[in-house]
Amino acid sequence: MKKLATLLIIAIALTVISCQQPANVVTPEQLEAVKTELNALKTDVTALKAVVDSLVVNYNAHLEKYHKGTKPAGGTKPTQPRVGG
Amino acid sequence: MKRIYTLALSAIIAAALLPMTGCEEGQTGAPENFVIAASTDGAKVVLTWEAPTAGEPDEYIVYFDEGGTGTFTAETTLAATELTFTHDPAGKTGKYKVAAALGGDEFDSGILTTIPVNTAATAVSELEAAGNAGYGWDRTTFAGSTYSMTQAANASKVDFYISNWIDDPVGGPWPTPYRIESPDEGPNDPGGVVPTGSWLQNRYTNALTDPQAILPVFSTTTYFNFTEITTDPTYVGAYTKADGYFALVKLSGPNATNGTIQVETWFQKVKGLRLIAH
Repeated sequence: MKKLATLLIIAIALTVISCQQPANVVTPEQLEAVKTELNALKTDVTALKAVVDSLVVNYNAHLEKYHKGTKPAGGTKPTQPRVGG
Repeated sequence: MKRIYTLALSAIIAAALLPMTGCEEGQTGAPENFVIAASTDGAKVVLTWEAPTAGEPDEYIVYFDEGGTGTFTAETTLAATELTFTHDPAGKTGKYKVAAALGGDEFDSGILTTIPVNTAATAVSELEAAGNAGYGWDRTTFAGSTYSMTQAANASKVDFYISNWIDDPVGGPWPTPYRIESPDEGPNDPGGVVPTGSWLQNRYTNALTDPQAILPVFSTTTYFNFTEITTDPTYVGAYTKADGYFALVKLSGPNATNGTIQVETWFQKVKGLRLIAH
């Protein structure tokens, strides 16, 4: 009888402990807010990527148009043998 | 009355026919097939002609009009058996004629000239700039024209082109100094716009100090595949290797912003003659 009483006390104690809400648990509301924030960030990243892609395209076009094959400043001409006769 | 009319008509016809007869005598009394050519060294002018069909004259008189001013001066008198004369003009150019002297009259040949054919200054573009970079002389008129270096069909017409031997940015600028280049160098030019083709191989002197002086003799030490244009203006002698003509090229006003240079030329149409005074 004494053993049964001990087991019951332990079971009750465990039940009480397990039913207690952890202090750091995120509430559904908080989770929803994080989800919303993540979605907003995703949107921002997508927009930023589009801007970067556009800049890369513009930069490459600029290189192609204005700097194609230019020699470094102070560079020398390719050698052309001077042939006589 | 009728006889008077007949006599008058006869007189008019005779008067009309007499001058024509005189003209006919002048034509047949002149030296024929008069031609000029360069001496072997390219410094002198060799004149040759044939006897008049009217018969052998008393003598021939060779005339020279230095600079083509219109004043002919007798250079020499030759016996009727002489049908050639080599004239040393001491670097000068001018007009020639030969007269057949007969009984106090002179019957002139046609007039031939060694004065080079001038083509007025025109803009020629650097190889990659807008406009034509090639320049060539027509072998019939001896006048110069510009041509595109991007068309292999122009290969036989171009005698030189302008390049800075750099792969320039699209849209410029096209930095100086520019070079006068042999067309056959085109496909190797860093500009990369000249297609392969039968481009002519010509040669050019270093910058000349006296643009009126006789051009140098063609050799491996005097003419080159290109010459850099470092002064304004620069005068360069050109030699067309395929057919052996000499010319003088004046290059002035190089413009790196527009990618152009002004080109004026004097082409000596007597093959092999180095005289270029103008």
